[in-house]
Amino acid sequence: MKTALACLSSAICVSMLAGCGGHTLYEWRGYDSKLYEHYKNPAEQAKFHEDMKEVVMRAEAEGRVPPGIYAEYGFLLLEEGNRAAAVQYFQKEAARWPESRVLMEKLIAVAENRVKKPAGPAQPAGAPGAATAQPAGSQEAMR
Amino acid sequence: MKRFALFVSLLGAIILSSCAHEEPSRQEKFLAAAPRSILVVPVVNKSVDVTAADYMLSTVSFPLAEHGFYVFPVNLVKRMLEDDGLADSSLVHSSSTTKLAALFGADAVLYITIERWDAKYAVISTTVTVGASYEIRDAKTNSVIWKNKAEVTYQPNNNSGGGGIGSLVSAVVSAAVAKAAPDYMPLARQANNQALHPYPGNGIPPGPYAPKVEK
Repeated sequence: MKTALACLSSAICVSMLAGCGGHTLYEWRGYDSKLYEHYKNPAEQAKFHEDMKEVVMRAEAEGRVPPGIYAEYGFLLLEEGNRAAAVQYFQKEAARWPESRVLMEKLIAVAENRVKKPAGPAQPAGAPGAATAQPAGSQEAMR
Repeated sequence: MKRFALFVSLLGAIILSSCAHEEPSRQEKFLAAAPRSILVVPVVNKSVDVTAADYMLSTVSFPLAEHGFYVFPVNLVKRMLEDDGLADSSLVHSSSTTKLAALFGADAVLYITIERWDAKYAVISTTVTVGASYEIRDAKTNSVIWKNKAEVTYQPNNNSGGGGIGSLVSAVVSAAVAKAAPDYMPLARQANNQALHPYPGNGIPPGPYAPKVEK
């Protein structure tokens, strides 16, 4: 009994210490500095894509993906015209975070509607057309 | 053994009290609204440094999410607003919180305004300052449920190597380095920490995903 109590108390202490500093709730993998680099060098879109992919993959491997990260990567995929993959990441975000569902449903609808459209060839990443094609899609989502 | 358990419990209580930094009177509105998700919209920049707004934006997800909230992906939100003709962040800040939040399904919106983001150059030293104000508005009531501000200043130490010519030279060098590329990011992060979770003070209460601390 006493031992159990002591163990419990120690466990509580340890968990509180964990909450106070040192450990983080999520595996960020430098998301903030990657985003900063992107804003610093906006022309390097491919680099940002690779950075975000690494952030997502490594956080996922640890099972501690921060809120918004699946969707952030999914939106990059959408902007690059990779709609099917974008939908996958929006679905992951929605499944992990119920708070994201309203937005994810809109984004999935945008991605899927554009799949159905008898549009021309898919936009390669970073193509000039990719940026101009996006606004219409997002405006649909905003309405 | 019993004493040990007591000691450990006491230690726990001490740690607990050092964790608790709520000041109930200033958090009532936030606690009543109890948002689960926070939409961080692009930052309004009152400084002359045009890069400040985006740089600041990149620092905000981490402290909010680690505090237990669902934070909408800031770059996605920024891009969607831009695509919708809302590239001007002051326009975003002055529009209805309820309508804005509804677009994203957010419970609350965090508005950040950069008040200072500058480096002041003196002959042998440079002072770098980041200052910002923070305001969270509730999606349901359209009203402010929490606000705070922070200002952080960095002045490189000039005390390297017992004075004289040596320290003067190193001070000139550090001022030159700061002048070439002052690093605002640590200051921005520190400002966020001071505003969002001061110990003790006017921080925001933990969100739904914060680790539960049982008493």
